Amino acid sequence: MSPVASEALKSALARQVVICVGSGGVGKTTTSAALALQAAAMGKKVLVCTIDPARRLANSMGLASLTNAETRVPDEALASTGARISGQLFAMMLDLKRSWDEVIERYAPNPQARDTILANRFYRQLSTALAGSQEYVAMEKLHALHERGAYDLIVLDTPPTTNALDFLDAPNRVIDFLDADAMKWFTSGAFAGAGRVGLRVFQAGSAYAGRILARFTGAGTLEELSKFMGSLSGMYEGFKERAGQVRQLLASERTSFVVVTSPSPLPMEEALHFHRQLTLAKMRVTAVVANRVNVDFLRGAPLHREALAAAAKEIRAPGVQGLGPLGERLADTLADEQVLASLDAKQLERLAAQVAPTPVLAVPRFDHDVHDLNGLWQIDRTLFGS
Amino acid sequence: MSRLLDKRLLFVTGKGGVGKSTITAALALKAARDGKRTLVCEVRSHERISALLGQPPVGPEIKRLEPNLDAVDIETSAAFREYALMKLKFQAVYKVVFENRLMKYALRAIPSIAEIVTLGKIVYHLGEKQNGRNRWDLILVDAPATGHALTLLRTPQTILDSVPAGAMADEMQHILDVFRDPKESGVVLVTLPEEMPVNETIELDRELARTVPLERSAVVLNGDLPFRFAPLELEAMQARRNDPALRPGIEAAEAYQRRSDLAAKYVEKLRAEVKQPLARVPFRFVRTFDRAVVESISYDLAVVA
Repeated sequence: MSPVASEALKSALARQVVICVGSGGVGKTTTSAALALQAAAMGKKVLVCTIDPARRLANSMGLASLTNAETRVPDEALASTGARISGQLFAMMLDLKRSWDEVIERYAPNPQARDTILANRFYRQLSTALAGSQEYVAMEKLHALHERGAYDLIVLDTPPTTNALDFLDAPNRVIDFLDADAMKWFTSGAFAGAGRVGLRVFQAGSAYAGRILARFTGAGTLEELSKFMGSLSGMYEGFKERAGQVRQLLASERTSFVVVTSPSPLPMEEALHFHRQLTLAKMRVTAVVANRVNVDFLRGAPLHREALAAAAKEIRAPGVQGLGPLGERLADTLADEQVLASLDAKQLERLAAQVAPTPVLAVPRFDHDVHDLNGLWQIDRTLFGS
Repeated sequence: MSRLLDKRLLFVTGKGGVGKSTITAALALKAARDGKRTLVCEVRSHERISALLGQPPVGPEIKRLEPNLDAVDIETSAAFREYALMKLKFQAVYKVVFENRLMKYALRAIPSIAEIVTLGKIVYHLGEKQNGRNRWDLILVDAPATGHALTLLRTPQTILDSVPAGAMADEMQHILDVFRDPKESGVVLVTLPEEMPVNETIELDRELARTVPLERSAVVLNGDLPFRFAPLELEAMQARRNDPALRPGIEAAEAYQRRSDLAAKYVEKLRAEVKQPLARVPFRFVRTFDRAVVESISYDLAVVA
């Protein structure tokens, strides 16, 4: 790894918030945890807030029951890496439903509104199914954690979005969802069909729309939605205010983004898109981390099948049958790995050129599961050197 | 159990990034080759199937890709308009309704609407007739990833529980009837031989069994790494590590076999937990995933299809 790139990534850990973004399945959670572990090794009190950790990784960080609570990773566990880690590492898993409940409990204008919201059927959709909802509540959580100021650094893993923009856009989408005009419409009884005298076209459209919607969902559903929107209306300003504050935090010096990707074409496209969007939005992208980069076992040299086959003849493995000549399998395997390695190298070159001057850090593919602190520490050694 | 491609409606789902579109495309090629008039529906997709088959994006209108194979991209607002016009017959006011920004808002605010129109469109195509017989023998749905797929497939029951008797309830009941008949429909679960995808598949299988009356018809393990080197061979190679002619080959062999062993462990776990027929699709070491590769994968699926 180039020392410049490592230094850049280290500088991200000197801020208050690091947000790891990227498409699903590229090792975002693992990277987030590895960055947090490195920060702890730098003496910081750090919290990693993950979305969906593999159970074994979670277990190794002390998140036995995968809860929404911040849990301190025990010193013995940190010591298992063999490194001297002077800081403190905390980990939590963001529970979507629980975090939404917290937001409602904390900010509902009164107990009655709180109970109405929590019991409403649409609340479940808002808290689990609405596009951007997961991203939004992650931001609410970040806001609450950052405001409390208990940590030097918060590393936030982000939900595996299908759309690269969902994350940045989430506050707007949820604010949009809670849009005051729409709320007025939903709470004004437009679906009841009891239009006032002298309806203007707009209202007529709404009434029609309401009736047509009712044919899809039943009138009861719309009444319930209407009630729900009504009880949320008192919280609208607060939602908007905090979304604004989080946006400010994200765009400030205190925050840095790390784009995580793998060298496969689709995640790469997503990573480039993310990088572009973040840069356009004036956010700081400190580095791009590319995981699972295939290794070039030939180290740039050409593959000589005959020489390999000849040398392999000397290897005797008595009793092994039916697999075909070893030399051929070695050559085939080397050729296969070579295809992946050269593809990855090309992809990384393209990535580096397009995100410049943001540095790209490549983490080689591990041939075992990274599921404990030891594995995370191994990643840190690759990213930051010893 | 009836043969997979003899059914009329198949949903293909799994964790994000496991190759759902590739497997859907491969199943579609196999069905078309078997002489079935096949329609592929992409749902909230990036139009991957057409690209995999070397075709430009298909869009919201049904488009012929090759003989016996058509595709359509189901996009919510277009599908809603089409569905509403067709089912609810309110042409006279549709402009007022659809150009109403609040309507667009409602489409987002009530998430089940997107699911209703998606399923509604799929089931509509299922019933489509041409020259007195079904227009499509088989509809393959490149469904969304796990969580959204569950939401989609649970929608008929959810809606049925909340709407009064009427056109919508009948529609949902009809979809459930299709779901309940294993000769008519099923789900294919796609996964990779890795920890997270395998765990998610096991959970998805259980959730489907608990909440959706569709048959879980098959599991496809994508990116399998078949065994290549025996432990005795790897041991014998150790002594030759310093031979420069052999070293890269030995390193590649060790790396490959470690991953292959890991894959085997996950296959074992999957087999222990999920009882559906399993097709193993070997990982392709290729530069581009083009039609030829998809076609070769379609032969790997023969054990379940």
